[in-house]
Amino acid sequence: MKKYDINIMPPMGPGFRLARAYVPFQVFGKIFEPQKALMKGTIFPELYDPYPKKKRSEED
Amino acid sequence: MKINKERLELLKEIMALEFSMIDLNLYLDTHPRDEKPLMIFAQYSCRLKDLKEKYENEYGPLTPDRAANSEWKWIEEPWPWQIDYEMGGK
Repeated sequence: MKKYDINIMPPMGPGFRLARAYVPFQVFGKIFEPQKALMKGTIFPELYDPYPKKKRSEED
Repeated sequence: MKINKERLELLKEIMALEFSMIDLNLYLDTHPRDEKPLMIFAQYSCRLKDLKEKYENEYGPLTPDRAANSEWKWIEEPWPWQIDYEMGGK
């Protein structure tokens, strides 16, 4: 196994500890109208992030 | 099952408001003093109450707890999976 190389670690600064995950604090902005929200599965446009539709030939 | 268009639109609006209120609920749990979503939640809540009242007066109880009298009336309504939601929908 390749030895761990500290030099390739991304430099994020001392505030960021290894193996910790971060969730940015959400700020309230625009929201979808209720009917639209129900179809999209969220009221928050910034959380609406569907997978791109694949053509049939690209699927496994 | 086909239900009339007016009824379907009312039901859809109720479902959409309930869904949006769940999402607002989740947001407000972590941002309990955020004024704008609080205001929207209150507006939706008010509107939902009105729409449910309107729906139930015209068509029957949405849930068993809303069937006020001793008759078990809500089973007379179509089940959610029996409704053709595409029919004349937005």
